[in-house]
Order: sequence, then C-alpha cells, then structure tokens
Amino acid sequence: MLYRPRVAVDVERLYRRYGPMVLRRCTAMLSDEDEAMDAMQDVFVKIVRSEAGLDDRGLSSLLYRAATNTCLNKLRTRRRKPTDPQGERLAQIAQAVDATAQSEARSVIARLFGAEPESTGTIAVLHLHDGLTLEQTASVVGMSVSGVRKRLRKLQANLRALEGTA
Amino acid sequence: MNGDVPDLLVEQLALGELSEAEANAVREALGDRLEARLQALREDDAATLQRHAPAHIAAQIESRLAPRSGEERDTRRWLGWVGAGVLGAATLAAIVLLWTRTPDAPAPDGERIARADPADTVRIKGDPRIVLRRSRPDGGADPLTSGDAVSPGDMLLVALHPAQASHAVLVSLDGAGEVTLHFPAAATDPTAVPDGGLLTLHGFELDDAPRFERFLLVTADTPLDVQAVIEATASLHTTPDPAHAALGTPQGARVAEVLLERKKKTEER
Repeated sequence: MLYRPRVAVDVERLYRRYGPMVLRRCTAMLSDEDEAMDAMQDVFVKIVRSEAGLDDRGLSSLLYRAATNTCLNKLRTRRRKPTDPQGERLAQIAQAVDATAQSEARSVIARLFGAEPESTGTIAVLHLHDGLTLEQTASVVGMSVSGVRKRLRKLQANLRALEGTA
Repeated sequence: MNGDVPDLLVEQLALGELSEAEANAVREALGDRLEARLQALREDDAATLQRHAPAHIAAQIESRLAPRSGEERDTRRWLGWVGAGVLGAATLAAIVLLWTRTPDAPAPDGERIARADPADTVRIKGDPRIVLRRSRPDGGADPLTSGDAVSPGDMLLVALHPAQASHAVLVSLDGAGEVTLHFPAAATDPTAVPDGGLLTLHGFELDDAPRFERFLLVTADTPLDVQAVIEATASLHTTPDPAHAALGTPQGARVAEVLLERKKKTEER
C-alpha cells in the first residue's frame, strides 16, 4: 500500500532541482551508491522537516552543507576502511570531529538555519577536502573567517593527535 | 574537488545561485574547461532524474516524513494488487510457465522453468538485486535482508538494482496470497530498466498479512511479460510452501529474492 502523507513542501520539485547535486555530493563522499541514495533522502527529509514553507530557490548551500554533514555522520559510524586517499582524508576528518563537535550534530537543521554554529566537520570538509578558501567556506556556512579559522585549528589539532596515535 | 574550482561553486553556477561577481570569478578560473564541467553536470542531472524518477523519490521522501500512527493518512492502494481469488483456475499449477514477451515468436508450450537459484539471493556485486530499507521514525532507514522480521505498519522503501539486465519485473507475495507489483508501475508498462544503477521505486506500507512478505525480482535481457510474472507469483500461494517454492522463469531469466518474516504487532510504536 502506497502511503503519501500531505507535505507542505513540493518535494518532487525540490528533488528535481537539487536532487542530482545532493546525490553527486553524497556519492563522492561515500563512494557507495546505495548509501548515497539513502543519505540523499536523509538530507531532503531533514530539510523538509525543518521548514514547511521552504522556497525551492537558493538552497544549494544549505543542501550541500546538509549533505556533507549527513555523509560525515555516516562515515563516522562506518566500519570498513576507505581505499582511496580522498576517502581516507574524509574518514580522518569524520573521526577527528570530537565528542564536542558530535554533540553539535544533534540538530543539523537548527544549525544550518543559524540557530547553532556550523558543524566543525562540515567546515573542515569544505575547506580541507573540497578546496574552498577560508573566505568561501565562511560564506557558505555563514560564519566569519576568523570563526572558521578557529574551528579548523581545533580540528587540525585533533587530526594531528589521531595521526600521532595511528 | 575537481580541478581548481570547488565542485560546489560549479554546481551553484549551473543552478544560477552565484552572484554575478562570483559567477564571473568561476568562469574566469575555469576558462576553456567551463563548458565541459557544465555539460557534465547537465548529463549527470539527466541521468539521475531518469534513473531515480522524481515522483518515486518524492514518494520515498514523503514516506519517511510520514507520521507513524494516530494522524490522518492519505492512503491508497498501490498499483498491481492482485487478489488470489481473481486468478481463479489460473493458479492451479504449483509452478506455472513464464514467457518472455515475444509477439512474433511465442514461447513453446511446455518449456521448463528454471528454479530460482539460491545464489541469486546473495548480494553479489554485479548481480541484479532487490534493495529494501525500513524507514525509521527519525527519518533514517535501515537495510532489510532475507530473514529480517517486519510488522504491520512498517514502511518499506523499495528499489532494485538491475545490474547488467535490461529488463526487470519486481513483485512481492505476502502470506495472504496477495501479489504487489513494484516494477513496472502497471502490468501493461514496459519492463525496460535504465542502464546499470539503482532504480528507486516507492514507499510501501505493510498491512497485516500473515507469515511473510516475499520479494521476487525477475530480470532478463529481453522484455518480460509482467502479467505472467504476477500470475506465476500468485500461483505460489497454492503450493505447500509459498514462502520458499520456486518461481519459474523462462530460459535466460534470473530470479533474485528477499524473504521477510512477518511478526504480529504486539505494541504500539
């Protein structure tokens, strides 16, 4: 039996515009098509739940960040080790997001809408993995450059500590 | 990252979500590579939307948003429910023949139907397979494999991976003998599937049918007769062990399956 509840947001339209981008992002981070599809749907569920009146314009930053955060969370709990250098880097970032940062992750949408600071892990992926400049990263996550730099310093210290124990 | 311009910025340029200054900076940085990057995105967009149809994905996402109980539900029966009674005498045989759709050269009567190979139920990369997930109240979903228990009200997310096969039919049989057609959407629709990747279908809420829910994916390199698959599946209900009886397929077709055990709902979620 198909079950389609009423949803205020036009999910189909939202997916048609942004779905491919979100799926590309998730596939690139997870390197697994099934997991990426699951993550993509998680992202849209979170976004739609966050705001029933979403305007489906100008959401690329929001969705990209949500996808990044969702995939990081999946990577953090993944048991198998990555087989490529980029995947290894992402895994390191995921693990380096310490308990404090994990607690930040409890409400991705509240954070994305500015009620809480952006996840350190997401900032790190955007800058260290994707190659956005500090300024671009700050613009995408809606923070100051100095705020981004501060978060990265903390994470890089964790990365170094992890490397030291590897 | 792809080249010296981050993917996000190229995505945003393609979506028209950069300021003019930002867009110009991206165009300048990419130079001659700009059109190739944008064209690659356009092609991938089209492929994704073909493989993961917007209506189906929207249904899956909306199913994850669904309240679990106590709220008004807009429900409707999915296409393809076939009551066992409707099939009547057609279900007398324990195993019936399935024919590929070959209008010019009908399959010969009496062709032996191959038993579903148990190896097909094992997820092997490159083999056609059924992908099932059960949505959670928090919006996530857990994978389901053969032997997992499911309950009335569980929302299953259904997808198939045709691998190298070019045609597929996905059905499920429950313990009450009802057959649900999951792919294609209707018995009269073509069975062709997009190349390669995962094909997402829809959210599927389990009713209170007893004992089991058995998903069967028939794949082939030639068009399949959907109605024949439905009837063959329904006929399994007349066998002594419908959860495990072999589904016949025409030569060259393969069957993959997932068998979920039904358990009674003992408590409200």
